[in-house]
Amino acid sequence: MGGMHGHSDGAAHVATCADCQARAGLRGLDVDLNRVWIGVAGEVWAREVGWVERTAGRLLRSPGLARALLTTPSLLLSWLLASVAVLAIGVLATHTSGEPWVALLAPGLAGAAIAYAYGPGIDPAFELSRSMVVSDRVVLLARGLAVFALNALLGLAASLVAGQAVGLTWGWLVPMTMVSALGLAGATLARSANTGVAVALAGWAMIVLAGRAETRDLAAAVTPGDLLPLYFVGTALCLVAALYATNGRRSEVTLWR
Amino acid sequence: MDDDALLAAVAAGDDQSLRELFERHAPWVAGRLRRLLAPSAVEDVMQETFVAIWRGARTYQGGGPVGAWIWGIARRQAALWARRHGRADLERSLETMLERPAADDPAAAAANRADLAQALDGLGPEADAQRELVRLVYVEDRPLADVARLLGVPEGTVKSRLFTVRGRLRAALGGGY
Repeated sequence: MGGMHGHSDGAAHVATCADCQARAGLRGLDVDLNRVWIGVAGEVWAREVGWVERTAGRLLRSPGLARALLTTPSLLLSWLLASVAVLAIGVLATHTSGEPWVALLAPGLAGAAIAYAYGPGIDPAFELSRSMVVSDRVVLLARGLAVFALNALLGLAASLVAGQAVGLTWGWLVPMTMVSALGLAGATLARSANTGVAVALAGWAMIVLAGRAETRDLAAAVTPGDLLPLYFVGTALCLVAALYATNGRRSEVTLWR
Repeated sequence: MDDDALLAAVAAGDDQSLRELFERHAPWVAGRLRRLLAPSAVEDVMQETFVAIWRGARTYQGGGPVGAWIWGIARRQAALWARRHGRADLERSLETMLERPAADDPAAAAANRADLAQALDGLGPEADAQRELVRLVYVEDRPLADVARLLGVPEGTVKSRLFTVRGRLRAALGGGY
């Protein structure tokens, strides 16, 4: 490309002309700039490995996976403290109102956390993780399982403290699985953690409100019964969508963020 | 954010600003280096260049365009690469060759534009935002300021979007151009 009329192709001009820079970019299309960025990011984000990461690396037999796991946005201390605070408010609300707020909050929290386990655009380590030997899917699986397990534990502890009925203590686990899968599907399809959070929370709110409208009971959504098939089918469909969204070829296509 | 503000943020340790600077400047610097170096060598030089920018952003004194400063670093890194790889011949001619304008060939430019027009089909339907961007910038050859006005976004956003569309364009044109 020779550039636009009246523009010089000399370096001194191109270095200062946005129009010529745009056209000069066409010359190096065979240069893989994503690979270059991964290399740059690797140097920029290089840091000393702490004992937690070393231990996790030994346990997982993969230092890369350990790094990916420990940099998960929804496993960072600030996120965990926020989750504990929300559940603590749920415990208080459950005690004062008699409604199962912990059971209703836990799936929403988990859905948001799972969406934030996948983070192009919000998680610098995501791009670094792409330089690892382990695939994106393995990283996502490890992160998703860790986030889910931690949220299940937090929810369970909050349920026990709230003194909910036995059925309710476990009842939210199935919807939580579905909402988590929904958040994951939303995040991976849109390549946006925030979209995943919005999809998960909106989906869960609709289920809760629909159950409330039909039965006049806020707890309907977490006392599965008739809703079990919906939850199982929903979970399966969302997982298929997430698998589709994270297949290699589709991941190569970069969308607007 | 303009380039000066981005570089100031990089100097303060903001890696997201480095990414933004990379998206704006890496494509043209790579295109320029590609005139003399093989793709793998360009990738090495580009990596060293942006790591040097990250480490040396504080040394930028202003007083000149950021693009020219970045290009100066890239040129030096290319010379270092040639020296490391025992390419004394290349090292000697590199600086002058990289500065010089390419031989202007109107026929080749017209053919390239025709290839791009064809490649548009590979970028999706006519309403596709990325396809529209490529059409405006590369086929219609419009200035970026016009494109930014037409799309209702800042010029810096147009540059970032051009970086994003690069992968699809590369695929549509068959890997190399």
